Amino acid sequence: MLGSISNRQATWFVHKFRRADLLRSADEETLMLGSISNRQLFQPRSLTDALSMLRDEGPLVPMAGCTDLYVALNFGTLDDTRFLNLWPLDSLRRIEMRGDVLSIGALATYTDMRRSPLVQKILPMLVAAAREIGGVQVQNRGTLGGNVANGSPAGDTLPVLAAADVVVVLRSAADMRRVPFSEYYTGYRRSVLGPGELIVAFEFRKLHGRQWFRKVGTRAAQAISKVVMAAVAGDPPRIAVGSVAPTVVRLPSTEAALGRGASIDEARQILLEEIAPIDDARSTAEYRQRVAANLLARFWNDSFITKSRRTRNL
Amino acid sequence: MKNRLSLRVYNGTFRYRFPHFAGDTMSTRRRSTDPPGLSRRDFLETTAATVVVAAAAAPAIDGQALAGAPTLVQPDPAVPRSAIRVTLNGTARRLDVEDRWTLAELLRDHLGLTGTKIGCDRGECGACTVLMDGKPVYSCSQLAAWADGCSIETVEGVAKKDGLEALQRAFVAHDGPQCGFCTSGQLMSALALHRVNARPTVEDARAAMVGNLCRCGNYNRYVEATVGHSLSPSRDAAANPRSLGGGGQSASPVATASAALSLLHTVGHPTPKIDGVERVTGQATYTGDVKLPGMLYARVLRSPHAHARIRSIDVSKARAMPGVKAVLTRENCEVVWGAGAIAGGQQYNDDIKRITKQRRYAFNNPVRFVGDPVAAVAAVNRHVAEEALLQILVDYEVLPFVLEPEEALAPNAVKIWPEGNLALNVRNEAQPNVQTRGNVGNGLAAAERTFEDRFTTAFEHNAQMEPRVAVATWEGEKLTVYTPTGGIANCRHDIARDLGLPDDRVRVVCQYMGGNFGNKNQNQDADLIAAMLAKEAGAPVKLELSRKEDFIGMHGRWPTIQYYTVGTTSAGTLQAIQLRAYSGMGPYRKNTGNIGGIDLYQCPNIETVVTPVYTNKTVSGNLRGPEYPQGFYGIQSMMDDVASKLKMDPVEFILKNMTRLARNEVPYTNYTLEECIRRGAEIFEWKKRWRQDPGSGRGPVKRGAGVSFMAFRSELGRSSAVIRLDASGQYTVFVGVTDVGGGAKTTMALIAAEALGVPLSQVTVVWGDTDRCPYSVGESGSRTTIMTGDAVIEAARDLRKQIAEKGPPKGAEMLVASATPTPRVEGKVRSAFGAHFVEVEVDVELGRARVVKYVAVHDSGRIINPLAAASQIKGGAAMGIGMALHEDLRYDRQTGRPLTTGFYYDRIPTHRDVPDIEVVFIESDDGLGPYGAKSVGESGKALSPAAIANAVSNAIGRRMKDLPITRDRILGALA
Ligand SMILES: Cc1cc2nc3c(=O)[nH]c(=O)nc-3n(C[C@H](O)[C@H](O)[C@H](O)COP(=O)(O)OP(=O)(O)OC[C@H]3O[C@@H](n4cnc5c(N)ncnc54)[C@H](O)[C@@H]3O)c2cc1C
Ligand code: FES
Ligand code: FES
Repeated sequence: MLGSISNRQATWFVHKFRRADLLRSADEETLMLGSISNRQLFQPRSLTDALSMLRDEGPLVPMAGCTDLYVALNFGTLDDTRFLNLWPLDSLRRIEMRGDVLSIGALATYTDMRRSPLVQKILPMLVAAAREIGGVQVQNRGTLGGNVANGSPAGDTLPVLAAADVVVVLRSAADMRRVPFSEYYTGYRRSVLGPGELIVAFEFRKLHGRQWFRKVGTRAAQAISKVVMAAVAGDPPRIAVGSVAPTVVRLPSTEAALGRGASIDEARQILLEEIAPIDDARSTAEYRQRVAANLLARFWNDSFITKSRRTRNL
Repeated sequence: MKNRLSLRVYNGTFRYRFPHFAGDTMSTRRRSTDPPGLSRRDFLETTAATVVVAAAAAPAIDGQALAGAPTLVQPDPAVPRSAIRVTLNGTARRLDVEDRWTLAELLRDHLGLTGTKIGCDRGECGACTVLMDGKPVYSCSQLAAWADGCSIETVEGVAKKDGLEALQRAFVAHDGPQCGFCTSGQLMSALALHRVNARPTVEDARAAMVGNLCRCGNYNRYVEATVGHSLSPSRDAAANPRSLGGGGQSASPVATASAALSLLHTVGHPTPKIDGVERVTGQATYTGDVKLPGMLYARVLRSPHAHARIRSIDVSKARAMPGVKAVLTRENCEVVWGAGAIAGGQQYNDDIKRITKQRRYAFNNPVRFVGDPVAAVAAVNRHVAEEALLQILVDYEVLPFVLEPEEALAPNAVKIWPEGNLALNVRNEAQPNVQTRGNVGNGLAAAERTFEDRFTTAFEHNAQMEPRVAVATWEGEKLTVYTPTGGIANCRHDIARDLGLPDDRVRVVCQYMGGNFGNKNQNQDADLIAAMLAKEAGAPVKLELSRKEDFIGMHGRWPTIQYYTVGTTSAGTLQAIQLRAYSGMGPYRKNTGNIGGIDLYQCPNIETVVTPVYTNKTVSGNLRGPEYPQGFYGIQSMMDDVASKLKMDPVEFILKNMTRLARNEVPYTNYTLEECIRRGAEIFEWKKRWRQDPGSGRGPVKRGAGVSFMAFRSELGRSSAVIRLDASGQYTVFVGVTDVGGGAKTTMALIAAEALGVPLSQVTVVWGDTDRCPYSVGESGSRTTIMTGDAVIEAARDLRKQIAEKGPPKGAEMLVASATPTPRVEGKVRSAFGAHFVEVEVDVELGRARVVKYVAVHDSGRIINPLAAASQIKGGAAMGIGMALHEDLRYDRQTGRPLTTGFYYDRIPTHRDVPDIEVVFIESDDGLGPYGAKSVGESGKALSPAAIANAVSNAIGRRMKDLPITRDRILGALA
């Protein structure tokens, strides 16, 4: 039934998640949970196993650190019942140089990235983002692949990846492809990731210019971003903002304007035309507009006008 | 023998013993937990015997011998299991686990390691933190099966054979645990930090523990324990004898006392909690840790509609499910939850509960808010109970709903009760709460200046870290309920009355509880539902609420809308204050809905009309200082604004207009308000920090300062205590406290030792069990120390007299003294006083406000235990930061559903939101109360939102008129 994979290799088991929420009626969906059904968890022992299971047993929901998935299960917003446990796949955890490309495995946790001398050297803005995510417990489990695949426009690493023009490496049982980050998302929480595919790694080329990261949440820590920005003071500069659109966005017109020497006030105006945030539970569109523009000015100021200040939590 | 049976609940929690503690902690620890009549040896034997029984009931789940790890869950052959290998607290184990178990579930339910707590069960709070391969993780969000091959460390494994780990000792010495529910998690995070960084900075400590929330707000203490020193500067003893910002630095007595008070032997010395060791080793037994043989698990089905009539409920499928033992709905359970809705919102009055027209049942029809209980199921395990709930079919007729008080009073608004939406008073009349003095119309007419404004406060959830839970069991006709209550006596009486039983057929037990914060000095609907399910099923039942249920199904601070009109002379003397206000009560009148604070001002003409209004939101109730934080914020913002419009320094304005006589007419028993304000202003350097020209700071980050002040009721009253002396010279104090986090057990031990004239080590405290303890007023209203403390002194006096007359007891003899004093103050008002001074930093480009300096000055009379008292003030102030800046239970206007259903979205403060809070006690003596003690518990919370809001306004030059002062609101105000 499980193809060539032996039973031992592929102990799959039924997992029934405990439900904490018990509001229910026949016609209500949002607050209550989908029905409590058996949940299956597939346990691969290698990436090849995992990809075969995806092909043969799919559709399966990959599970990495599960920090997003548990919340979704608990909130009852997840109907899927069959999961593929990626956590044991150590090969997806590597952080290494491949030629002049920094490759970060999809399963690298925030703690792994914070501690990695390579990431500290080549992508300090990713370290800054990782430091601001959740608490230590979430940083020990949450993965870069999970943040990207989860695809929340408020995901804190996404502006970093966008500003760095990362390449996303996708694998399926049959194939491997490299997708530029700018082409990865196709809409709100939608991406090019196919049902048989996994994110396996992210490839970064070295960047020129100082890197900058700021997150503005609802409280001093443990908060989803209201606005998050990553930028590189190169020529031209690269600027990406999260939580202001259905997906993370780069600001090409603003970048171009700053690149050709426009004033920061002019650049702020252009930024306001480039983003179209919405009101939601965490913030208002107006707040996001103003703060995004203010962050832009701060980035510019920090990079070119004053000596650097260390990134701090907001 | 009966006592022994009851001890089964301690299964597994005493497997780790610490025979050789150094210092105080050991002796006090032993004393505090030994039940009377049982030596520690008996106790352990009893526990062991129970373990055998329990283990025999189900196959061991461990490949190797699992010392004392009972499992009461029958393995279900249909559920897949996996064999895993883990190193658990240093011991290699092979375990056979159900694949659906989370790691927390494995540890708590199946290995008896209940030191790991569940605060949210969804990765938001950190109470469940364990170390997995040395790294902190949330065990609630891990599958047990994932632990295969890993090393797991839990709080139970931290202490070594030769005693507590240094960090545990520091947690005790610095008063880390208040309620203690978050303690294991904080400890595990701090431990992981210490292993890589032996000398962490304050920032390191905060970063390491930022994933661990503490609703008691004891962040300062956890940081101090982790870095190994106190945070506040130590002040010159002469100028300020009792600055206790740190306080926890050492357990050694502070030898100085303020001039007004004589030095006492035990009272007044900073003392770590006598049960501190239990709280840092995971041994403290909270209700959720109670496990009885044959116990069933219950869950509640709740309304998804804000307002609906139930046409029918079909429970036949649920009832037919294997493993389901009882199902309750309104049809077979007509119990009225008396404390759930009372005319006038008054408490503890049987007559009122009897006459109230608008009754709240355990299960209601119509349902009136999202979360109103509809049905409950008890089954052999949680998983089955939850599945059964989903088999219950409810046919709702959905009704229109209303969420906001002012809309609910509109003539065409939907009526939540036939009598209308104005909540009924104690006489069942639809009348607002009115208070008048002088003639406000004349006062305003005569005033040279008048001012008007509107302030609002949000619905704030209690969010105590321990989700509500109850365990009920019947032995014959006698009901025992384990429940987190701050008042075992009142809770018992409430349960008995609601179920139609005599009081003595009900026993309420609460050994430890994870935070009170309001309406826990009474029964909960969970107590009643668990009791009824247990009766129906003929077996013990544990009912646990999820974090979300706790948020939406219980209660929070009533939101308010406050309109003020104030008249003054041109020199700034108050002439008249008028308040017209609306409080959103949810659909049941659980509490008063009042708004406090007007009486802080000396003013000849006042009129307040507070209208409590029914809405279809979650029920409003008490939360730490029920009517004060929102009222103090409203009126003290108003007055701060008046001062600024009159170009007066707000401190000068307060000194000119603050209360000097209670309610403008009755003298206080003593009066130190002015001293609190002046001392605070001096320590805080008010003149330097307050901006005469608000908003004038340069650059994007602006600073500003704010002040608030209070007089807080500190009444005397009835409570009881029993003290027994046995031939060994040991004194046992029986008091009906439970210790909600304020350290009441330690307080009572200190008072008893002082009154008896013996060292603390000769005193044992027995608490938290109505079958063993006398009446206590219960821990609410900041009055336990005063009222129960007075009873302890009275009993001690009697006992000393008996000893003098009869000589000490010999052999099997015992001397017993009991007292139930009802002290009163005639013609005067007894009050605690205080003032808070806050500096904030506001980033006007991002809207971010941060509290950067905090000085809290309190006169709470004599401080019985300066360590715990300072923690209380710090915790209250920390909670106030959340109320001021973040917390808000929001609703979807379209559906009437709450959007804020957990810690994460409610944004209760984290380690990073709370700066050092410096606490200064001015200890005055009015000759009343136990050694002159006055109230402490709620006052920190009452003062902090007002001071913070005023500071933000001072920083940015805009009055902040709505709580919480979110980042959006700050930018909005500046737009
Ligand atoms: C308390 C708390 C605080 C948090 N704070 C923050 C924060 O501050 N900022 C922030 O951005 N996020 C935050 N998060 C969200 C979360 O931690 C991150 O999004 C995390 O990176 C998700 O990674 P994971 O490995 O846990 O993903 P999972 O939960 O395991 O998976 C998330 C999604 O990604 C998919 N997926 C995972 N890995 C792969 C893969 N390799 N290939 C294909 N699909 C994959 C899964 O199927 C799932 O749909 C927080 C979460 C919690 C619980
Ligand atoms: S984080 Fe696990 S219980 Fe809250
Ligand atoms: S001590 Fe932290 S929640 Fe009570």
